[in-house]
Amino acid sequence: MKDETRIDDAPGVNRREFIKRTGAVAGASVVSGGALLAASSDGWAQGLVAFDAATGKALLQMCRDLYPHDRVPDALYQKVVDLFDAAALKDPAMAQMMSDGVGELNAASRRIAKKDYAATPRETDRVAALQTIEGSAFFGKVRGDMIAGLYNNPDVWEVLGYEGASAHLGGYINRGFNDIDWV
Amino acid sequence: MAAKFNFDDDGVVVVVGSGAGGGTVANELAQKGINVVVLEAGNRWEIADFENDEWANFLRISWIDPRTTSGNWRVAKDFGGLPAWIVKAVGGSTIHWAGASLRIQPHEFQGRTNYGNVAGANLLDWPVTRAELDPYYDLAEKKMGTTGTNGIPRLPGNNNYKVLAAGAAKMGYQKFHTGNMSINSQPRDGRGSCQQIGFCFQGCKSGAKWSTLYTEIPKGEATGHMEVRPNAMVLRVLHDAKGKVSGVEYADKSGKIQMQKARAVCVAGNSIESPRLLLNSASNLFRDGLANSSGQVGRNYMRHLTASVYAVFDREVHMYRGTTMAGIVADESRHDTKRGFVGGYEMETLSLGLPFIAAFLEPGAWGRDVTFGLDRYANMAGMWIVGEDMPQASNRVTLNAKVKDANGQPVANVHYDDHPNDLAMRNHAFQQGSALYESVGAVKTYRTPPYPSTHNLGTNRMSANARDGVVNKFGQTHDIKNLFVSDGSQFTTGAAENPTLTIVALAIRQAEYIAKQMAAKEI
Repeated sequence: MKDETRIDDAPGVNRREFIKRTGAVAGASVVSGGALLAASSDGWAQGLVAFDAATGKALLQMCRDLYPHDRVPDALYQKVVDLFDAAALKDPAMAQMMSDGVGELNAASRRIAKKDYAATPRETDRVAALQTIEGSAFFGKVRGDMIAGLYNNPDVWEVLGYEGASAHLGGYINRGFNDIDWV
Repeated sequence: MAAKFNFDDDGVVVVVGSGAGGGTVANELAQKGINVVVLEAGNRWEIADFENDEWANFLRISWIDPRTTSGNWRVAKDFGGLPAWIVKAVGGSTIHWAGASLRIQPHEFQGRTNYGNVAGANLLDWPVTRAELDPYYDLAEKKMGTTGTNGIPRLPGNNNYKVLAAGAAKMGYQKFHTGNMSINSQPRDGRGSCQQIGFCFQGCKSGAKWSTLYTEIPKGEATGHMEVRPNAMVLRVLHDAKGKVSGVEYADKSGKIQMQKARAVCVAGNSIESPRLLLNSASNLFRDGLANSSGQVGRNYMRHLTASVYAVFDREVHMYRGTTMAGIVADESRHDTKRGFVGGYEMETLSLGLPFIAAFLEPGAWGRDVTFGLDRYANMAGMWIVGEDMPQASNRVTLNAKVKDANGQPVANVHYDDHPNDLAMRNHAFQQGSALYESVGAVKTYRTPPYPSTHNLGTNRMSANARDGVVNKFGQTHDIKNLFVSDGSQFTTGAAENPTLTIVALAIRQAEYIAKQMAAKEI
C-alpha cells in the first residue's frame, strides 16, 4: 500500500527499486500513516500499564515520525513505547512528563490540522506539530531514549541490513568482508 | 610470574595507567629489571569478556565517570558529559583503538617553524625531531607488528576500503592503501591473524590487534618485576619536603585509601586524567599543582579536528564487515596552505554498527533526512577525518570544584573552542570526503560532526624551555626530576596522525632514559 502523504525521502532514488535490490527482508510489512496505525495498534495500546491507550498510541506515532522506517513494522516501534511504559511505572515524574508532553503535542496538532496528533493523517502536519515542541524536555527524552530503544534491537537490525556480532561465527573473513564487485 | 610489592617499598617505579603509554613504559622498565607497580583505575577484563555489542561493551569498558565540558565545540552540545570516548580498564584505550600506526611526519615536529605565527594558536616546535625518534618508531613497529613495516604484509581491504580506494583513484589521489595497522595480517608474537570480525572498538575478540592488555602487560608480569593493581584510582601524587615525588595515594576497589611509595612516578592516565591528577596533587609547596611552574598543565588540549563522512550508495557495501579502520588516504596530510589552512589531515575508513551510527550520524537530528541513511545502512560507506588541530592556551583541562567524583575529587572540565584553522580544515575535509564518495556514485553524503574525543593530546606538553611546557624531550617534568608523563599529553602539537604509535615510541625511549637516570643515581 502506498501512502501518498509520506514525505519523499529519497531524491534520485527509486524506493521500490531500492527495496528490491537490497533484498529487503521478507515479511517486514510496509506500514505508515496514522489511519492504518490506529486499526493495528488498539490491542497493544490497551495492554500498556502506566499510559492510557491514547497516550500510548500518540507515543507510538511520535516514535514512527521521529525515526521513520516504513519497512520496520509497528511491533518493533511498540517495543520502544513498552520500554517507556515500564520506566514510567517506576517513575511518576516521567509518567507525568509523557502525559503532559502528549497533551502539548495534541494541542499543537489541533492548531495545525484540527485533529489530535495520532489522528492527523498527513505526515507533514504531524512533523510540523513535533517541530513546535522540539525544544521541550519531553521531546528530548523521547528522542534520546528512542535511539537506544529502537536501534539496539536485533530485529530492527535484520530489517535495516546490519548483521551484528560475528566473532562466534568466525568473523566475516569467509562471510563476505570483501565481496562487493560494483566499484 | 607477577610480582607483589609492599606499600612502603620506595624502590619501585609507579606507573599510573596501563594503556599505550603506561603499559609500554611499565613493560620496558620491567624488562630491564626495574620493579614497577602499575596502578590502573579500571577493572581487568580479558578477551573473553569483550562482546560484539556496541552499547554493552561501551558501558562495560569506557571511562564514564563524570566530566564536564565547555566551549564552542560541538561535542559540548551533543555529548556534554562525555568529552572523550576512552577506556577505563587494564590495557586502557589500546582495547578500543582501531590499530592505525602512523609516524608523525618530519615537518609536523616543527609546527611553529613550518606553520609560522598562527594567530590564536600556541604553536611550538617539539624538542625532538623525527630523525631522533625514528629508531624508536622502528622498535615500536616491531613490538606492535605493524603492517607495511618489517616485511609484514598489509591487511586485505574490506568492502568499505574498496569504496574508499575506488573514490580515491577517481579523485586522483596517489597515497592510499590498507594502512599501517598494528593488527596481525599473519600469526605473530603468539597471536593469530585478523579474522575480519569488525568490532575493533569493542576489544579484539581474536587478539590479532595489539593491545597492552595481552602483550606488554603479561610480558612485563612474566619478568617478575611488575605488579598490576586494577581498580586503583590514583588521587594524588605525593612529594617530600625537597619537592621530590615520594609516592602516590589511591583509592582501591572498596574505596579505601592506600599509599604506595615510589622512587619515581610515571603518569599515563590519558590527556584528561593526567593533568587532572597533577592539578589535584596541589600542595603547600606546589600550589598550582605538580610540575606546573609554567602554568601549562592542562593547557593546549588537542583532540584532532575529527569529523566523518558517511555516504549512501544504491548498491550494497556492508561497511561493518571486517576491520573498522580498513584503509587510509594520506594525500591530504601534507602541509599546503593553498588549501586555506596549515597542517593536514588523513582520511581513514571507519564504520559503526547500527546502534552507534544511529546515535552519531547526525546527533540530535530526527526525521527522514537521517533515516534515509539508516534505512540504507547496508549501503553505507564511511570515513573518519583525522587532522591536526591547533594548540590553544585556552583549550584546557581544569578542575571543576562543583562536581565531584565517587572519591570526592573535583572532576575534569574540558574546555575547547574550535580554531579558525580547524574549521577551515574540517570544511575542506568534508568537501573532499563527500566528493570522493560522489565520484563513485554516492546518492547522499552525511557530514558527521565530531564524536567524543578518542585522540586526547597536549595537556602536559613537551618543550625545550621550561617556561613553555610541562615536560622535557624525555617526558620528564621540568620541575620534578623523578616525575614523568608517559602518555599523549606530552605531545607538543597534534600532527595529523593517529597518536598511539608515537606514544609507544616515546614510552620505549622514556624507559631507556629512566633506566639510565636510575643507574646514574640521578633519580
